[in-house]
Amino acid sequence: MNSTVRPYWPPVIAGMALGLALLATFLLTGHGLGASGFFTRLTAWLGGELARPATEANSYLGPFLKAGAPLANWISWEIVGVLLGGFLAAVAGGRFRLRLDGATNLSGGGRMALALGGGVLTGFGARLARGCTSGIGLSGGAPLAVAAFVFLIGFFVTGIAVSLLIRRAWA
Amino acid sequence: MSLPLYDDGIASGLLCGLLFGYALENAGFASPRKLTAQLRLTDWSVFKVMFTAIVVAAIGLYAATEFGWLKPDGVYIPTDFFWAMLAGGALVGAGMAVGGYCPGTSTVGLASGRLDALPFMIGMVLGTGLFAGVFASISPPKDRRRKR
Repeated sequence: MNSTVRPYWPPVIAGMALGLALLATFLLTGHGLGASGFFTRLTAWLGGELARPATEANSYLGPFLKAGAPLANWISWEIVGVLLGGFLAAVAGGRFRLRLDGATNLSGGGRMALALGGGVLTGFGARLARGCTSGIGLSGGAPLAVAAFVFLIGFFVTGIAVSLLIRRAWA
Repeated sequence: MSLPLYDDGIASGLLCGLLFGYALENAGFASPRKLTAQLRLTDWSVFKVMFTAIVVAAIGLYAATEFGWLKPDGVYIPTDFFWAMLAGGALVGAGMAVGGYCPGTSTVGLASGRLDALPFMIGMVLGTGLFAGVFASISPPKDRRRKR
């Protein structure tokens, strides 16, 4: 659209920046970065607002409600920080633009449906693994946890296979 | 030996998140087309960025422990429930192939103006609810397991 759009950082530079952010998080908090934990707490909070008795009775989400406000946690502030950091980087790089991205070979409705479906798979999978690409993959990888590499093997092998199956929607 | 600080306060969360989001967006990880290009094996940035990040953080943690700044075993290490990790990773991988994001990248995706990150987030809430719905029937029955 305009000529001021800057390219992304080279992968090794971006990887070093991401690694240093992860290291700083470990030294400051004793744990790594995460993301899916926030969506778990968001689900518990929404459940509490919409169907409190059922959510309280649920063996997975109930404990979050019984412990008090589910969103009052470090991970919620971290996600606010991620939104801010992502926004600042996008604006500084001339890359901020309101748009519908995704599987661009499809119509808008198709893209939204794929995003929703992908989100369902991700939400379920992240709970099964007790974390996502950030919480288990990166943050488990840094202290060389076996769990992280098992997760990443499952992630990339399946991701590549499914991607090849549905490549007509995306490529 | 004084590290980690175990600071889980608001400022700590905001700061760590800010650095995380800034690095992710500059790596191109807000773009679902760049993320899935890795899975189509047409752009290897995602592998390179993740591998470099893990190596840098691993060396940093090792060095900080060796120099005596970081308490040994002072950081959180996820337990390896092998099949749950493998199946969970597979579903998150399939989720990225279909939807274009993972939880962290959908957050920077939204922050860069990508509105398709919103249905992905709604999907994650639904998927989490689905997991909570079946959790009681798939979690190991602790009481019965060792009764014999």
